[in-house]
Amino acid sequence: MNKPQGYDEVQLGGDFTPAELGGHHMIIKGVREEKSKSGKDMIVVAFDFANHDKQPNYFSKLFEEDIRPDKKWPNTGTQYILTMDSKDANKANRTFKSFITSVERSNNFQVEWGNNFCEQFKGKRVGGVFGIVEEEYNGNVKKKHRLRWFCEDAKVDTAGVPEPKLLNNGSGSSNDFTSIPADAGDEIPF
Amino acid sequence: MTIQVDTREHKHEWERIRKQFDCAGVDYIRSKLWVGDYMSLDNPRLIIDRKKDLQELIGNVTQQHERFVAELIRAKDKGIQLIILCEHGDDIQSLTDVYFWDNPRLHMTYWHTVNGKPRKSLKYPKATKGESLYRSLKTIEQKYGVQFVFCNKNDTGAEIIRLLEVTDGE
Repeated sequence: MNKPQGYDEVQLGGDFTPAELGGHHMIIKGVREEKSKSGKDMIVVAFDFANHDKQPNYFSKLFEEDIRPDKKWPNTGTQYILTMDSKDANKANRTFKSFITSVERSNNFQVEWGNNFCEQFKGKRVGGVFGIVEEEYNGNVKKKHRLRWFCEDAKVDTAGVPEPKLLNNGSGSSNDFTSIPADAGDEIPF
Repeated sequence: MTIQVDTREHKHEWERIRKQFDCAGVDYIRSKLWVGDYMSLDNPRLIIDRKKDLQELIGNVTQQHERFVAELIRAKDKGIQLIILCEHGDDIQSLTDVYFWDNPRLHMTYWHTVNGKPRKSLKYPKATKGESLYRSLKTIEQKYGVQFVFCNKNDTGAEIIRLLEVTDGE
């Protein structure tokens, strides 16, 4: 047999290192505006761990190791945030405001609304707190290390590990981000 | 190290890079190259092809695709390691950054008249997105063994010297 194409680049099963729980220094790679499946406005935030973080460029490495031609930025390095409150259409979503405020405080800048809203976030610093989240995938319950909330970059080093967010007892904060899209499953590296 | 610079390198761009070579005290000669733009006389198996920005690369992988691929094949067939050095600027430092690049052409608009009323439309609605360009460059990297390196225009000369010297020392 000839050596299959891309053989050397394929990651071994069991080699996957999850994102460490607790605070991370992060860099925003990109933000885009989209509609959720139910037609609500949302932003999609792609981020990576910063060069000075304990796991530098973690998501870039996952992305580069992925040899699928139609690969996307790792799902665990992406957040989908609704802009308006799901219960009160006249009120901005608290998680959305938390994200904006965290970026503003981390970079000492003021967000400008209107055109080019998304572009201004690129390369900006922000903090993130990772915790365990139980998710159901193809009928199986998996515990994943996911971003639980954004925070100010200066507070990363003192951030603790959040309580796990479990499917059946609903513990942990109800923050949070909108559900990951159903077609994002193939981006999940387990 | 003496660097051979292709005679077809754009005059204006070469003047800028020549000054950077002079500051670094590097010798150079102008002579036509088989492929690319810059080569160390100590190692003719490594050549740098300079691109001024991502728009030039888009032109290479779309309109001038055949000519571009012919050059890549020419290099590969002769055992030449080709490095494409794209001096796009600070916001593009790696191929991964290309994935997130927001092509400004996608937002360019123009005014025209529809049924007597002025209307603003996108000038290039089908302009190449960063994600598409990333996939094209990744394919080229894997298929032809090309390396993509990114820098700022102020650092092009130093980056050319660094890339050619690294290989000299290996």
